[in-house]
Amino acid sequence: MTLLELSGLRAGYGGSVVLDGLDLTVGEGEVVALLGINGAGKSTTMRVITGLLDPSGGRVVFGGVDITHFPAHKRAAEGICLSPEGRQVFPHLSVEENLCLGSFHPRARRHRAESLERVYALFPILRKRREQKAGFLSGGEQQMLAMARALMGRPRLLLLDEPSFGLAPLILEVVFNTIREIARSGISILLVEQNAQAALGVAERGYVLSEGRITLSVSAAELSSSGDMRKLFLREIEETAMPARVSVESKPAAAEEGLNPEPILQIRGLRRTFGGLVAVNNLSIDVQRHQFLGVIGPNGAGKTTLLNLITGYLQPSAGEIHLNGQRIDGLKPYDMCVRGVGRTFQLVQSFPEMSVIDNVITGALFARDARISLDEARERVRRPLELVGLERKTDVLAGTLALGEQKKLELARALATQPQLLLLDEVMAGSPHEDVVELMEVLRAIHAAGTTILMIEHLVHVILGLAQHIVVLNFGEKLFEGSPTEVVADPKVIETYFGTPFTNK
Amino acid sequence: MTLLPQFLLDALLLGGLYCLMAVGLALCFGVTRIINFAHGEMIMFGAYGAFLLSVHFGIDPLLSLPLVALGVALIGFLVFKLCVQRVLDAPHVNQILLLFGVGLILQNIAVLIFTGDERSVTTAYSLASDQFFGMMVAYGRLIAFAVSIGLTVGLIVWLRISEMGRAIQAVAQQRDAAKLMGINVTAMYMVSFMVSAALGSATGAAMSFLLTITPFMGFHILIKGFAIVVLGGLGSVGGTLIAAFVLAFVETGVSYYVPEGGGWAEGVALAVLLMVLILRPRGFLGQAVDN
Amino acid sequence: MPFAATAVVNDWIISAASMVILAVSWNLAANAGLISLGHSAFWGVGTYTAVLSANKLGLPLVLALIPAMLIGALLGVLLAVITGRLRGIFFAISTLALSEGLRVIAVMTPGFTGGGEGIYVNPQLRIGAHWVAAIMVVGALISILVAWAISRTSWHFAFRAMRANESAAQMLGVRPIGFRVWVLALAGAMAAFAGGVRVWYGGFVDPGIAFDLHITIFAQIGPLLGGIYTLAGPVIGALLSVLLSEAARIWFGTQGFGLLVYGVALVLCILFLPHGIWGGLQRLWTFGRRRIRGEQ
Repeated sequence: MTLLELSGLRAGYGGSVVLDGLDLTVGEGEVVALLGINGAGKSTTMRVITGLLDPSGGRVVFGGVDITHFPAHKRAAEGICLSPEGRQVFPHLSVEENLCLGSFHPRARRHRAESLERVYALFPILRKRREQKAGFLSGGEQQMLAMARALMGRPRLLLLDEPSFGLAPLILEVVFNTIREIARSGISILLVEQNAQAALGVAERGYVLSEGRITLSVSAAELSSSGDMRKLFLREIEETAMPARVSVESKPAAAEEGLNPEPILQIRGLRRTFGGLVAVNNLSIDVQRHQFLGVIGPNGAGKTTLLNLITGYLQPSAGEIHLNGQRIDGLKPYDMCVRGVGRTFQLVQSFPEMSVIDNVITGALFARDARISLDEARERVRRPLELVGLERKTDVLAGTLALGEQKKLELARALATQPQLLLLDEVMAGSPHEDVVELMEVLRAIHAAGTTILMIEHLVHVILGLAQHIVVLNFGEKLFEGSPTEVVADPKVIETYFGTPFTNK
Repeated sequence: MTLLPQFLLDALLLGGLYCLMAVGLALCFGVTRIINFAHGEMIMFGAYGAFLLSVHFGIDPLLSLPLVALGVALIGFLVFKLCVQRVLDAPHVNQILLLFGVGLILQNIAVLIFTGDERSVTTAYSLASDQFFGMMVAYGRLIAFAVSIGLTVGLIVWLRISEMGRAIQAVAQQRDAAKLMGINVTAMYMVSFMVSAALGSATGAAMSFLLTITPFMGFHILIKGFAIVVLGGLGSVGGTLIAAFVLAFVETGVSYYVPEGGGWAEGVALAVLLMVLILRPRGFLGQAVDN
Repeated sequence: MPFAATAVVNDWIISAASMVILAVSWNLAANAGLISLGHSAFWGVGTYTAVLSANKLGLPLVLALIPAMLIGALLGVLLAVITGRLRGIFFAISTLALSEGLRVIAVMTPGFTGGGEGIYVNPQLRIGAHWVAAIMVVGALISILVAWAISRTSWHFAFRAMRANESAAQMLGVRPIGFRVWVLALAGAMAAFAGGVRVWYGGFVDPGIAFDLHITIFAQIGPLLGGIYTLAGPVIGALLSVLLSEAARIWFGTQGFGLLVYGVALVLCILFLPHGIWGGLQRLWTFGRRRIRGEQ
């Protein structure tokens, strides 16, 4: 019997489309995995199912009831419980208080004592830590707490969003064994994972989500051998990459091209911690002049932190950064801009109440020590706007643009500062297929015109198609470095991206 | 001239009142992330409520306090439903100015109803005092202190023990996760806003037999409340309580030991506020800059 | 006496023009993302500086306004430096504290400011109300001109970018502290000018009058009513608010009503007309134009 049915679901944030006609079902007692690369819309699907995000179209039917527009707090009472991405435990409350809150709604509250016993049996470590504040737990313990808290709500459908996120392999195994145990108790589970191997190790069925749609649905039979799983994933990625059909041809190495052998950017022993968490550790990278450098790595690998460190939004805990031979760590973002570093942001940071052209003009006006006139700036922004293809929307308010367009606007704005070194943080995210291809051409042109580019991107085929040199990060450290051809051949990299298969099934 | 014990006692008694005043403000901010610029008016209405019931019906402010708190909680409910609920997701500018405007309206309603004249409540204990170990103990202040500490402790216990109190804490810490637990976040906002208003009015009622009551009294008290809340780390109840006593001790110290200190003491809260902002303790800055 | 009949008119002109100056000044800071709840600080400082420098040095009003504006600007610079990177609510609270703090200082230094008793403008230096009105109007026109001129420079881009996202603006080379210093200095000088002129009309100042919270309310009401962040909005709103409060005074008689009307106008505007009258019209206009274009 079908427990959850999503049909033709459409949803997004502020005008951008993330889910575009998604169909999915979860049967009673079934374990279903929802897989896909970052930005495919997995977490958005979870937000729509739990009611944190209101869909703009389609239906959510749960247990035969249409709950499409139910408020979030009513859905918990219906038996939909989510262990959210990033855990979201209540940091200043004790473990037991967190668990009690999990059974806040009356249906679950009646069975609180009994549920507590059950989750403590499932996660013995939580019983040991019951008096401790949740904020002081380790990442793995927090993950268990988030799952236990969701179980306290006596779910008919348990949603797990990235339970593997940031976990060490050993703990990962514990967490997934527990998921298997929960599944045996008859609770339906919808599991969202980036670590496809781990997810497929517990699921009976799997969906592959790409650009807001289900592109592939596979049954348990197809999942039986681990060889198939990898094929499945490569196929999925290929599909995403189809219009580009990138060939990983060898591109001329940058250093040979330029006369100046000194790297434009030198990073030495860079380290940054947040509280106890090490986001970037002992990282050394050279960016050669006129190079196109790609940085990849799974979620939480420290990629955006790296950009924040380079641009002065964060100060390193240790290590040095040199730009054109000058030490720059400790400088502010505006200093970096004046020194010729431009950047786009992962989360869109356009100025929504300003028109497109005014956004870009702001980029042109203040980027050098010598101020230019407004007329000059207007002249100067024409080229960047044309490059990214926004020249017809100059008078539109930036806030009304779609997500992909806002990303392009940010690119234009960064270009208007006339950077020597351009740092791109997921500039393709939110752009439809056709635009990705177009944007790749734009970036090639920018690079050809002499700009050094450091690019972070989740779309692997984009990086493979553009970058001359690739650095792979994992847990804040450099995992691998080499040409695109070397990167795709390296088993370590494949593992980081697609996960390790479990030995026990 | 004055003895150290007397200073310590006075500061302690004042600190109790400050606790009650600031804890309401901190609760509202901690949960809704909106600073209630109309909180001073809730205090003012509490004082007038106690005054009216005392003058017309002869009810002692201590007895009328629950009634007054209930009435002002109702005002809080109306303010929330009619105004605050509509700007929960609006830019900060709108929230600030909206509540500023609400405060202006409430203040001038009070001017129209009660006129700008100064009032005061007289009770048997408001002027009585006794000597203990060489210290002058004014009963009125002692009673106000007891009421304040009682209510503050009551709030903390309620937040920690009760199902709803815990839910309110959950909303303050992780809004989305709280929704996932089946907690109606908007309802919790409303409850916090009303409880905060009720606590404000209780502050006013407890002050009613100590201070003169005017429609404009709320503003000056509110600024002290801001100083305490900012010093205490914004919305953290524990920090707020410590900050309340810090301010009380510094203020009392200034008025005891600085020439013409009585007048300068009024400025202590402002100096503290500006100083915290300049020195920027880390935890505080993190929030302040993040819009 | 040709001016006797126009005493009421002078009164209107002075309050309308001072409201315009306050509104333009407040809006200038707001445009850069700095919401002031302490505009009375600038006004009060201007008032005291004008009176004190006039009384002590025998300066006529027009000359006394120069130190008044300088001190107002200086206070703005000080505020910018003190508040550093504070934004939104925290900046607002600091301005509130600044204004209250200055009031306490004014009360507590009677030797210098006359304390709670207040001080009178030297009667020999006072001038006719029509002159005061004229100076205030000139000041209002100059403020509007300054605001207009700024809207045509690169500052306008920096301010709006800072308002939207101060952190992202830095990546474009905008150094926020520099712009904050300038905009608050300018806004401070404007409000100090208005306060300095206004005291010549009343002839008397005490800490309660100088640092009155109502000044801050007057400064906000214009932009909110007319249209925050726009050029014409604050002016329209300021004039309209004078009309409103006069109407309230005439209809209801009591003083409390005027402020009650302001409060109600403030709340209604934020809830139902967040872009103000002028901002609303502008939006209607662009929307209409686009529809017409779309239909063609």
